[in-house]
Amino acid sequence: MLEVEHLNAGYGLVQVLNDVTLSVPEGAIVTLLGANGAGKTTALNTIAGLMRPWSGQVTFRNRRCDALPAHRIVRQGLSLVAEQRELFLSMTILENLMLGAYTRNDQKEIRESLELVFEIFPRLAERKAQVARTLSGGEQQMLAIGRGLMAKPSLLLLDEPSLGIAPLVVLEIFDQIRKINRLGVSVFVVEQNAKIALEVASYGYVMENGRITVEGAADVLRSNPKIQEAYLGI
Amino acid sequence: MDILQIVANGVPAGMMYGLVALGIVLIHNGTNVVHFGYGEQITLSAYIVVVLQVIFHVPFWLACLVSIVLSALFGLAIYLGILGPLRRTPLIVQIIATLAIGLGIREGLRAFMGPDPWPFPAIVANKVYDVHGVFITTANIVVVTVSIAIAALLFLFFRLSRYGHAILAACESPRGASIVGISVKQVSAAIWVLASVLAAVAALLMAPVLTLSPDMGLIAIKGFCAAILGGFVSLPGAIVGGVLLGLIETAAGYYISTATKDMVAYGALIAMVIFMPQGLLGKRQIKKV
Repeated sequence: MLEVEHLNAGYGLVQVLNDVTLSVPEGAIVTLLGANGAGKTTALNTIAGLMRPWSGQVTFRNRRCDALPAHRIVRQGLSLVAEQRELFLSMTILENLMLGAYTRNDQKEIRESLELVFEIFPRLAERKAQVARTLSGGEQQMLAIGRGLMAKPSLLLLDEPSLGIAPLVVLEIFDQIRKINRLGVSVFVVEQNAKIALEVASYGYVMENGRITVEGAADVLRSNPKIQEAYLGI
Repeated sequence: MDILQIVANGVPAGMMYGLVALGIVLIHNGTNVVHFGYGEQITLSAYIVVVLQVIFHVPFWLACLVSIVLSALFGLAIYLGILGPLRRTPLIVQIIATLAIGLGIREGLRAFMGPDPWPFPAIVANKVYDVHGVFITTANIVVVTVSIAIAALLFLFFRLSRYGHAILAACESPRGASIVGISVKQVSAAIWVLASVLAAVAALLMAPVLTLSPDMGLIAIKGFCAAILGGFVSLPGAIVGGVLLGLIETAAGYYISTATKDMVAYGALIAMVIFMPQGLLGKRQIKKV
């Protein structure tokens, strides 16, 4: 579904991504693991069109999308939930969610998506008139994911959904990610928390200094001694 | 009665400042740029009306309409030609660019239209009504009505329309806006067009009351004051700040002397900046370092 081939990207003169090749099959949850500063967010932002790659290509559902700006990529069915969440903090939950559906026109379908989001995240439904700024970190993350879903994506890109969130809420959020996946949305999730990411994902990549160094099925990665030592703390 | 007369004169004056402040705040919210050429954009629109009417004998209402359209196009041209290409440069570069735009317009007008004032026709015939001893001019009634109508339209646009919401969203988080599918460039262009249309409308209201010369745009300083009083990020704040400024000025003119009214107005501004830096309706800016 998503194919990234030989991607090089960076900021100014500094190269961050080095020959990154990865893919996300339809219906799967795939994770990209790595330490802070490994280039995971850069990879995600480049796929989502917030950054232009230097070279290489990104193909989504057999269409090249590496030259498109972010606001056009959403329309292809690829929705990013950014690391900084990038919510509209002065607006209510409902307003944030409705802006998530900005690319869509069918009011009836938008209603359905909204109900779906409220079903997955009942806490958002309870507080739909509350201003986003007043939500807790976990609730803001749920709102960011919910807003991403409102675009009715076929692939959801999640950037460190566990960042800065209480451990119990992290479990809740990953449960919800599983639920979203069961509804037919493929998921590509970038995480530092390898333990939980490898529990929900079926396949994983490990990034070090902008390169993919290891890849494999999630259970194979879990039993890889190098990964256990570096990322699982075993 | 004194108080009522001060309100009757101060509110319309303040509404004009508020209109100028609206344009400045819009551009600032949308693009982070403080537009120091905004006053001159207003002057230019007024001159376009005069040129069309006096030199080309176009009917007044048509001249006004053409001026609004040209101003919108001019705003778009400023964005596409100057501030759009500069958007990745340091903010100070962009601000100097707006200053240059303003100076260019002002001195251009001085060169081609002369330094002397031009007469500008009133939108409605000027009459003075005596309401129980309070004098109200038709010009002031028009200013207040049009300003309130514009504020209401803007409010409805931003609160209720999808596109208005998108603009607010892009102002608040450009990245967040792009990932939900909003083109931030389109929003910036729309903001420049909107602010420029406002400039033209402000020109039609102000030019009959003020003196139409190349220096009329200096009124924008009062617009900046109004914007700062209102908090500089809030659209209703711009109007409230404008009205407050108008009232302070008029009261100072009445109770002290007209010569002191600018002094008192700027004094109020300085007091506001010292004691309430977030303004009346602004938000306290908390920057994480």
